[in-house]
Order: sequence, then C-alpha cells, then structure tokens
Amino acid sequence: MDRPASPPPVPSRPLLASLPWPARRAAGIGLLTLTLWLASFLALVAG
Amino acid sequence: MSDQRPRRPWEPPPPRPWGNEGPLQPWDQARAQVEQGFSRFRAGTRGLLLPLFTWPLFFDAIWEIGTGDVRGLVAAALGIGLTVGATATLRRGRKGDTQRAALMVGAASGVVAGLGAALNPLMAVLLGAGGWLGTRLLYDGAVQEVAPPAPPPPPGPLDEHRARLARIAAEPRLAGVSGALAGVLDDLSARPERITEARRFLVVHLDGLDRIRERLQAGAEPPEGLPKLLEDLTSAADEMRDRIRAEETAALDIQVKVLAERLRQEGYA
Repeated sequence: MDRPASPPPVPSRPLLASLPWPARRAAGIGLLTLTLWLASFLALVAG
Repeated sequence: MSDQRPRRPWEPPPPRPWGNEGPLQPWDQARAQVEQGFSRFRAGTRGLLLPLFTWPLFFDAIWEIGTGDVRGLVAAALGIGLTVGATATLRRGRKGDTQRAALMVGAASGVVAGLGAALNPLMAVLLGAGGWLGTRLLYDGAVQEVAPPAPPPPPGPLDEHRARLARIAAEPRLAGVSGALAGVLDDLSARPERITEARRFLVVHLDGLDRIRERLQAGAEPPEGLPKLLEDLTSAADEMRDRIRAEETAALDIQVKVLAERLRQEGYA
C-alpha cells in the first residue's frame, strides 16, 4: 500500500490562541478597558 | 494538536482508562463540584461584563439630555444599545455569535470615541479595532457555540385535517365515523393529487363533527337523529374512498389502453 510522502498539513493555530486562557481573558478585559471604557469616559468628560 | 491543550476549569475531566476508573476520591468529587459550579456560573453570566464597561455613558446620556446635545445623546444611545445587543448575541451562543458580538462592540467603541468623545477619526478606528480584539480575546472559545436549530418542517396539506380528526376521535361516541374519515385521509395522503377535489368534503364533514364533539363534551344529550347522521357520514366517507379508488382504477385503465395502443403502433405487439 502506498503511504503518503508527508503527513497532511496541520492548520497552524493563531498566535493569540496559543496564549493560555487566563492570559487571553486578562488581555481582553484590559483591552476593553482601554477602548470601550476609555471611549465612554472621554465621551462623559467631553460632554 | 488540540489534545495537548491544557484543560480549562469548566471543562469536564477526561475519562479514566477503561477498567481503571476506581471510586472518586473525596478531593476529586469536591473539585468536580467546584468546576461544575464555575462552569454554570460562567455560562449564566456570559457577556454581562460588557455593559459594565459603558457605565460612563449612562451619566453622559443624562448630561446630554440636560444640555440638549443631540449628537452626544445619539453617541451614548448607540454605545449602550450596541453593547447590550452584543451581550444578547453572546448569550444566544449560536455559531459565529462571538464574532458578531465583537463587531458590535468594535462599532460601539468607534462610534462613542468618534461621535461622543469627538476624537479624530483615526483614533476612533483604533479604539473600535481594540474593542473588537478585546471581545474576541475575552470570549473566543469560552463556550462551545452551537448551530441554530433547524426550522420545523412545513405543515403538510392534510396536517390540519388530521389534527381536527384526532380531537374528534377523542370522543368515544364518534369513534366509528372518525375511523372512516381517517381512512379517507390515508387514501388522500397516498394520492396527494386528489386532495383538492376532496377538500370541500373534508371541511364540511370535519366542521360538523367538531361541533357535535364540542356539544357532546359540554354535556349535551345525543338526539335521536344522531346515530343515523353518523351512519350517513360514515357511508359518505366510505363512498368517497370508493370514488377515489374508482378514479384511480379508471386512470390506470386509460394508461393500460394508451400503452397497448402505442406498443401496437410501434410494432412490438
């Protein structure tokens, strides 16, 4: 029986997916604070 | 490989090898309970963190109403509405909902930054992208998204009649005639092209029987003429079945004659 010359390519995981989940969650909360919260706060200050 | 990924706290532990399960240690039981509780808590509170990020917008909206600044009010309303919509989308948990929610949060961040905080457009776009990325980081893979449920199959042409007949058959005094009408429905489902011509017959009979059933179930005494009427309805149903069968027989007869004639013309018979 013919065997394939090389194993089928494994789809590479995105860099962010390779981070452990607590780091991703913490980064998510941090980023949302820097963006959504900051934008809301600036809107309040500007208003 | 996905097998190498460390197990998350809310995921159940992998099964032990076959024949090596053994009783769970008290520590394992306690840990499993804690993990299940955390999993339920996380699923139950999924997405509720997002609106908390927008708390300044509530005060901003009140301020904008007071000062009459329509632009600021629209920005605050869009920011709150899009974030609440993203939360609802996340909690629905269908396939692709995390991506949709992330786009909504990104849009909310961008609109609030550009319109409400009057930042320059580049900063608004950057903050929008950050909102999108933050939501993806926070919620990607947190729960398994499921495909939307398949829509129910469209009702068949006889389903409504069958439902009415089932109600009629529940009355024991109408069992005979409902059996005969069930035979008509069975014949019609085998020959759907006859449904159109039998529709009037079905509507008249099922209407009348449904009303009789209502009165009987309301406690009415069956009048003297009822058995005769039910007999007539039963024989009408039998006649309808005979007619359907006779029409089928006639159609088959014509087909046989046509085929025989064609074979004769082609010289095969």
